[in-house]
This record gives sequence, C-alpha cells and structure tokens, in this order.
Amino acid sequence: MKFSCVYIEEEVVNTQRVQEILQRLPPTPQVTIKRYGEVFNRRSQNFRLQKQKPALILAKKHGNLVLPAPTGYGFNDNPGFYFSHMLNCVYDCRYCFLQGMYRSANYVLFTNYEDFATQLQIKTHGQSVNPVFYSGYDCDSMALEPVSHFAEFFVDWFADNPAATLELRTKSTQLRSLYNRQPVSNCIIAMSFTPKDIYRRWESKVPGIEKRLDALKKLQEQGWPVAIRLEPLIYESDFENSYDQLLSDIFEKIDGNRIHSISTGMFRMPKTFFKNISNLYPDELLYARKYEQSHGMIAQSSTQEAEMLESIEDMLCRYVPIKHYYRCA
Amino acid sequence: MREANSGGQVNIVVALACEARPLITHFKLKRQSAEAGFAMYTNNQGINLLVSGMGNLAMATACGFLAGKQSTAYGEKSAWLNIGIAGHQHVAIGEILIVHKVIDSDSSNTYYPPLMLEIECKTTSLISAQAPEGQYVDDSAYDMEAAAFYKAASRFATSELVQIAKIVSDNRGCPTEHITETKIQNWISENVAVIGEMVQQLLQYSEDYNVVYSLPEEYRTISKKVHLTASQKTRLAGLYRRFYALGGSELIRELNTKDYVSAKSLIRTIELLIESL
Repeated sequence: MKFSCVYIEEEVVNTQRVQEILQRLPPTPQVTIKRYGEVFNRRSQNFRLQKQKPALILAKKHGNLVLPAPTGYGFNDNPGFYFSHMLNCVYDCRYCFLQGMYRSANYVLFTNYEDFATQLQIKTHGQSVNPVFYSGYDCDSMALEPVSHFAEFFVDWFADNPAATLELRTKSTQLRSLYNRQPVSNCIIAMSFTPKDIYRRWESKVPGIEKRLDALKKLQEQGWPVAIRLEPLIYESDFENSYDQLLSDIFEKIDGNRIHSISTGMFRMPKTFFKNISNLYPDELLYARKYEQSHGMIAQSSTQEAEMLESIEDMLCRYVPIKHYYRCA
Repeated sequence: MREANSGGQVNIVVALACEARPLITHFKLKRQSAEAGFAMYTNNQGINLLVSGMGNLAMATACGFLAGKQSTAYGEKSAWLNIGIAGHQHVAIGEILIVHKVIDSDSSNTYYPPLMLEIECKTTSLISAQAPEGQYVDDSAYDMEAAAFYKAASRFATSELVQIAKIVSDNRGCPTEHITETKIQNWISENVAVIGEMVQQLLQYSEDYNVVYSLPEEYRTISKKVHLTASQKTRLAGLYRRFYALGGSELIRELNTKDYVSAKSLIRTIELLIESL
C-alpha cells in the first residue's frame, strides 16, 4: 500500500508498533506532528482531491475508545458497542457517510491497541449479558490489515475472551491473517454487498463481488462465522432484478444455513453529512436525487424503502432461515 | 491572463527576479504591465508568475494581489507554487526539495502542505524566519517567505493546490555569503525540468477541481441577464449543479433562450424542471 506521506504523532513515534508499521511500508516521507488533528481537522481541505493522494497518520487515541453502538445497529439485543482503530477507509464508495463526516481523506490509524483492549475488558466485565463489539463503523476493519495487523491483535484478544463477541465488518479480501489461524467462534466476519450495477458505479477501489465471495467462502469453509450485510440499499427502478442476481451469486458460494446472520440497511445519513457530500460531489447523481428529510436525517422515500425491504426480504427467505435475518438501523 | 474557466491555472510566486528569469524563459512567459510595484508574467497555458520581493509582508501582499486579479465568482481555483532558495543544515547545494511542513518562526504556527506531487525528490520541513539563518540548528530548510506564502495562498485555494519547493542555496559548509544572483539563476535552471513537472501536475489538479466545481457556462449567461441577490445566486448555482447531475443539460440550454422577468420566476421554473426529471 502506498501513501503520499506518513504523519506520526510524537507520542507514538518511538513505540514498537509504529516502528513495525513503518517497516512494512515502502519508502515514504515521514513527518512528525504533535496531534493528529493538526493534519486531519485543519481547514481548507478538499476530501475529493486528497483522496487521489491520501496520507497515513499514526496516532494515539485518547478518551472513550469503545462507545455504545447506535440503537438497532446490531444483530441481537445484547449490549452493543463499537470501536474504531481507524478513521476513514481506503475504498472510495460514493454513498459512504465518512466523506461528509471528515474534512480529510487521510487515514488515521490509532496504534494504542492495548488501550482499546483494556476498555474492551472493562465493558465486557461490566455486563450481565455477553456484549457485542462492532469494528468497521468509521473504517473498513480489514482493508489495511497488511500494514496495521489490527485483526491479528484483536482476534487473539477475543479468542482469549469468549464472553465477548466481535464483528469485523469489511469489504476487503485482505484476510490472510484470518486464513492463517484457527477459526474463533466469537469473531464474526461480516461482508457488505451491493448489486453489480451499484458496485460498478459507486464502489471505487473495492474488490469485485466475485473475489469477495470467494474470500468469504474460504472463511466459511474453514469454520469462521460469516455474515452478509446488504448495505446500503439504494433504490433503482430495476432493483428487484439486481438483488435477485446478487442473492443468487452470494448463495451459490455461501451456505445460507450456516451463515451467522444477514442484514439489510438503508441508504440514509444525517443532513449535515449529506450537505457536505453534495457540495463535494456536485456532479453526482446519487446526491442530486430527491430525498426525504426527517429528524435531521436524509433518506429515500418511505415508499421506496418499504418496497425494497418487502421485495428483498421475500427473496431472502429462499436462501436463509429467517431467524438469521435482521434489519440494521 | 487566461480565462479562469477554461481549465487549470498555476500561480508561481518567487521572491527574487533572478529566481524568476529561468522560469520566464522555460514557460515562455510574457511580462504584463506592472501594477502595484509587482512584476507579473503569464502565458496562454494557464501559468502566471509573480515576483513578490523578499520577506513575509511582500509575499503575503503579492499573493493577495494575484488572487485579486483572478476572478473566482464561478467557483474556479488556481493552484499555487512557491519556488525559491533556502538554506539547509546538510543537504547539498542546488538540490531541490518539496516542503512537507512549514514552521513560522515568529508565531510558531505550523502548516502541513499535503504532498500531492509525484516527483522524485526529497521532502523537508522548513522554518520561515525574518532574517537569513546562519546556524542551521534543526534538520530543516530555512527561508523567509514560505510561511507567509502558504498562509496567504491557502485563503484562495484548497490546501492540496498550494505547494512549496525550495532549492538549497546554502548550508553549514557553504554559508549565505557565497550566494550570488548568477548562482541562483543557475540553480533554478538546473532544476527547471523538475519544476516544469510540478507545474504540469498542479495544472492538472487545478483543472480537475475546476471541471467539478466551476459553474456551467449556462449559469454564467443567465446570471448576467437576471438580477440576482447573493442568496439567489447561491440557490441558483445549487439548482444548476443539481440539474446537470440529473442529466438535464439540454433543458438548461433551452432555458437561456427565454427571458425571465424576475429571479424568483427563473428559480421556480428550474425547480419545477428538476421535479420533472
């Protein structure tokens, strides 16, 4: 993986993990900074131009490292939390809310994994029911794995802490660190899919659907719990045919009876993010379309949402036991 | 000066006339009539060059002057490039460096120009001071204008379009006393191909930006025909962009052939057309 520059916080520059990460990179200019916000949050940045030459920022995350997941986010009613070892994603999906959330397209990688683990431990011990921890909310969990070794560290931690469950959400096929070890039953690998036409149009740099399915199939065959995330659902006039084809492609390779879960999630985002992205991509059809606004959120019309859900849920029944299905808020 | 909407533009700002000479020759720049004491040169390829004079104040004023000459009423932006000489603790004389960090020694403010240029050369941090540096304490380059340049130019362009490159003119083994105008001219000449590549890449970034963000010709035409308040301009610009994104460019062209008595009726018509797409 190539970055235009590596910015490194003074506080972590001499840590072993940072030095190891630097060794995994090709020769890249290195710049020492005080705090990542100096680069990441500065004014006068254009996310779109920056995406052409993104930099990597190695930093230490302070404060609350593990946060409550939004209501209705998870696959069960157990206490849900999310944690982000990274900000931003190496892929360039036009529908992604991160473009509207951050000023910068640079990738921030928080390298104090041990501090995350400490907070995971605290959250796990404070619960009477086994909690679920979601990774991949502010980034792709696996896409930077060859550089970060994030999953290598955290899958080990969850293997030692079976009272907690981890969901690694990803679109990446960089899964070698998982192939090379015994499956861990409380680590779920959840992969997101959209139909081919949406993939071609709006999922720049994302590995092909076929490749992702092959990767997921390999994990399932090895015994890993795998999950399918049909997100985001974007209304197109021929969505029924597209999803019919997508589901057929998915379940040709993935055993529907053995999947951990399958979910749907709508294309929607806070109004401020939507406005930021519309300004960033004034030429983009996706953001020029008409949407509905309710409680500060922008969404497709409730009729379109209902139509898609009804139809896709009907199709899903052909492939998976309905108990494995949930709607992600 | 080239029409801003026709593609990319790069503003090169140098402190000294001797830094400018090889660039004027290389880019075939023509001198414009002098204004406000600034020597300005342009060509029809979108390259502008301004000689600012030495120091922070001169540089900031020059950037403001040049930006003021370039209309951005329709959303277009030029890229900015500061070329000049700098001291360095140990880098060889004549070597060109791209700046990745600028420290203003007066205010201690720090800036990080994004490394957007794909050029085979070293990068450096740089300290901008009020007077030439003779001690070279830090492993950095030293100059007198880059901080002011970056701060000023970033007001007129997104930071990705603002870049700084310095050629080492002095170091511990060869202090500032050895610098002559002829030497400066030679150092710039020796690096003119690399500078040319930087300029080409910046032209492309500026064009990429303008293709997306500058307002379509049809908006420019109609906004001259109808009186618009500031908020109506913003609203109309947004509608035009949305119209284009939805694929309604043909309908937009037809609109311009009609006369509208008021901005309100124009905006309402476009809103209705968008509904119909």
